[in-house]
Amino acid sequence: MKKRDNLFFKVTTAVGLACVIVLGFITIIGTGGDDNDRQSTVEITRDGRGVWFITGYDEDNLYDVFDAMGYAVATDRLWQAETFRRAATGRLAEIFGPDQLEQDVLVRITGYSDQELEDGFDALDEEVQDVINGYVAGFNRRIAEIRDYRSLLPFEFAALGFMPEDWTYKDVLAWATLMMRNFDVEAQKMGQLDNAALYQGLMTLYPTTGAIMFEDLRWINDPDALTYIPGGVKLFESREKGLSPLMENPPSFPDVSGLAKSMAEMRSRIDENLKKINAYVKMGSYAWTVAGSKTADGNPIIYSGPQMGFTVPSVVGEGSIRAGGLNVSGMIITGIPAIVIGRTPHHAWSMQVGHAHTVDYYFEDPSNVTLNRMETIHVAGGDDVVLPVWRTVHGPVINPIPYDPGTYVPNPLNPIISWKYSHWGYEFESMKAYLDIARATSMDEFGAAIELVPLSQHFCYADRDGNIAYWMSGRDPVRPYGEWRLPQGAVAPPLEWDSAVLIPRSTDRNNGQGYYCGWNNKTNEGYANSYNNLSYFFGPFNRAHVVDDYLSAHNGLTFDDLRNLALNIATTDSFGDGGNPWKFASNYFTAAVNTAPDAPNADRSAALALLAAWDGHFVDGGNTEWAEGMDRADAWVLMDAWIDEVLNLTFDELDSPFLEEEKEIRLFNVLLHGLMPGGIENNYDWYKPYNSYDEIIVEALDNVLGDLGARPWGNNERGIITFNHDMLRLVWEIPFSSRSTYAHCVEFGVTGPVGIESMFPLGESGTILMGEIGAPVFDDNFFSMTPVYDDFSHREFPLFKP
Amino acid sequence: MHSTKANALQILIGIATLLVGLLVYLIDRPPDTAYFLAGWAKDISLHDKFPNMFGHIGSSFPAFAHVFSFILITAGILGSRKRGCLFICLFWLLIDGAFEMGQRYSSTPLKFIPSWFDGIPFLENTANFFRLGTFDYLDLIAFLLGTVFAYIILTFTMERRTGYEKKG
Repeated sequence: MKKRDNLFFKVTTAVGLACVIVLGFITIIGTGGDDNDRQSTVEITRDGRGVWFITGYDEDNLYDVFDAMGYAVATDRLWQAETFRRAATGRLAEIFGPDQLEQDVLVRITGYSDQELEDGFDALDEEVQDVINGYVAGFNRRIAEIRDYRSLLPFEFAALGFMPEDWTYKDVLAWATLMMRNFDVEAQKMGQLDNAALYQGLMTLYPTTGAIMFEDLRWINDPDALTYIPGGVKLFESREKGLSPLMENPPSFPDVSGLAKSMAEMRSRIDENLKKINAYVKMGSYAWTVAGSKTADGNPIIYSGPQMGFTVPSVVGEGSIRAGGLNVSGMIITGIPAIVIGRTPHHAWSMQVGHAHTVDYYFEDPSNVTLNRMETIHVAGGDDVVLPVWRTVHGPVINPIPYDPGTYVPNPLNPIISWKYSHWGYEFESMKAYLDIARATSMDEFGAAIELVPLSQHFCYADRDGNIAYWMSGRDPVRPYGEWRLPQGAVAPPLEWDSAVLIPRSTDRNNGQGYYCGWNNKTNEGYANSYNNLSYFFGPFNRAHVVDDYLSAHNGLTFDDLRNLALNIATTDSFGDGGNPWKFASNYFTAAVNTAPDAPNADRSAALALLAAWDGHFVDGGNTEWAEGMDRADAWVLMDAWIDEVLNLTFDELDSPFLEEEKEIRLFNVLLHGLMPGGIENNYDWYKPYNSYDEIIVEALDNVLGDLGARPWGNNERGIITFNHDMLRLVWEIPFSSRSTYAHCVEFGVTGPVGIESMFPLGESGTILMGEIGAPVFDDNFFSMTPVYDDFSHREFPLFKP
Repeated sequence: MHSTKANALQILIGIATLLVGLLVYLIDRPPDTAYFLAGWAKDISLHDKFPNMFGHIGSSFPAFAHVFSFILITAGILGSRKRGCLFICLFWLLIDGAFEMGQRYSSTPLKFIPSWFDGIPFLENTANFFRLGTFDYLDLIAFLLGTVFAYIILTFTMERRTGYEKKG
């Protein structure tokens, strides 16, 4: 009996103890710990165009604030977000099939591993983790609603027959990484390989002059190029002066032209395939910030116009957050928990692609290559692809793809190449940067946040304290003197750099001229070109001149003047995607015609008169026609054809396969180097076998006048911008111009913004639902911004409440 | 740990303190701020009638009450002696402290929460506990004070050993 009592006692004690422990845990978890006064007051409202406004109290948790943002964005753009995250995580082929396999392979090779994403997330500040976790929770809240109510499933998912999976923080980090690389000038470009192919091609065709021809075509730094920071400021001067190592002692090295061509073709195929699914984003942007000394009201005014292409839906949207200690509104990008370009009660900012030298390619020895991991890519309608990811100390191996040490035979024509990126390992800091940019309360704090931005961008800035300022962000490491236009290890032992040791930041404040402006031009006089992006070789001509010309010539500028400047410059056009090359060529071309030995004839004189009377815009008929007129100016047609023919005749001898990609803008600047006195002078006489450039210019004019025939030449030739949905094809079109995708114009009084206007294409919503008979049904806000975007009219955005 | 019969006094003090802690939640906290208040307790919330009655004490008292009451209840059930009480104090201090620290470094515990917690009452709130909970140094101090006070009460209310027990 005693034994049974003792057993009963032990059992009841054990049960009681277990109950107490369980109760203890439950009371901890059930009380929510001690979040004693955390009660979310965050709300989402929308304006008449569907733009969302998140409101709450400063005490609100950032998690709740970004949960609301994630929910709003997922409601508007779930399909777009799906293509973005799949592009970033290498899972496009899983739904689109083998066409997208190359992008998946490349992004898996150059992207971070799962473990690196986890470690990167763990290393973030707690509040940044809250931002990302909240955003993901908001996305998943919307996805849960769709699972409960299938009628909310966007058309594209229904068409392809799958449901969206929950988002994770890894999706956000992977997409943020890819998105930033899309907008970094060098991250995804391979200019050093192209340069190597060009050099070798020239040396083969012109053994005695090839090296100096290369120097002319790939000049390092032109001091005459228009800069954001004016006045001959050299914050850092590239050391490459005089003869480069290539000219001093022209080396020979294996021919990589075939490799460069095949890699360029692969990149081109990837871009084209991404365009088909509206997951490709374009680079470019204009912006200006003007000090009170040049404005009518004495207030600083800033305009930002990022050019990111014309996808369906637009790559950008707009939103406002006034909760959780944030008070910011502006441009958003689907899948990124941040206001990317925006304004606060204190300041506003712009972003345009900069030109920091962020990438170098290294030729590697097989002994330096190690296996990082294995990846498996699922392919719709095909077999899984198992991809080994190899790396060296410099970074991922990007050639051969896939690398196989078992079958690879060292081959100078097909070297092992690694990709070294200066932002590698820093890219997750972008979320912290966006937060700090939005929360800055002074120009210094804003500048400190720029240090965290892991891509190269020009930032223009204005604030209520009356300041204007400029920075170029990005990590541009200090490099030892050497040949950096070519891959490391190609012509000499590889040189090394440390991404923690950077050249001085290119930045300036409150300059004497009263403005900073640019259109993806050079940052300051001492800065070299971007060797990996051949569109960023700066010479006398850059489209940015149209902004600078206007601002330097005007004072007493109003809000309307500076807003309308966007339409003014967007109606210029050239091989440089904007700008007016005639301004730079006119003196030399006119003089050549007027002094030609066979004297000016009537046709030539008429051509010169036409150009002399031209207003510089490609749209005919003056400013009343800029927004919607459909005719191109005959003068523009003549100018474009004439310069093109001059370039053809001048560089005719370069007509060989490795120069097919030479951009006209680079060749035009080489031509200007030959025409203009002072500054960079060409080493090679490019006009040969003619006797002079003048001879070429006159012959070119005669040729084009013969080809063009009788005027008019530009009737109904303006062109259009088309908006093509990846499944439904053409859904909208507008007249062509060199315009931005998003735009905001902000004027600051002493208490904050006194005027805000903005616009973006199509609408806030990208949602298309499946109608009753399977027909697409566009959301009410799918085209909500077209009345203000299409004709550049902008719309007033609510000011910040006191 | 050597056990004898339960100590009813300790259990009663523990339960009473737990109820006071519950009262603080019912009076001092808005019904939506804690998982358990959002359920059944929502109907009996007194927050609207006596808002902020406990003032600053109300913010950290539940932390104090939790560790204090569960030490007393556990020790009371086990009828623990001094060394056992010390072990129990340390156990609950570590548990409460670990959960509080989990709110400070939420990404780590969030990784280990299994998906099957979803839909199970109380357990389903585990992720929100770490994600949304606010870490507070004062709570850590309250846990420490609760543990010390609990140990003092335990020593005063501990039953003396009988001669039979001593022979054991």
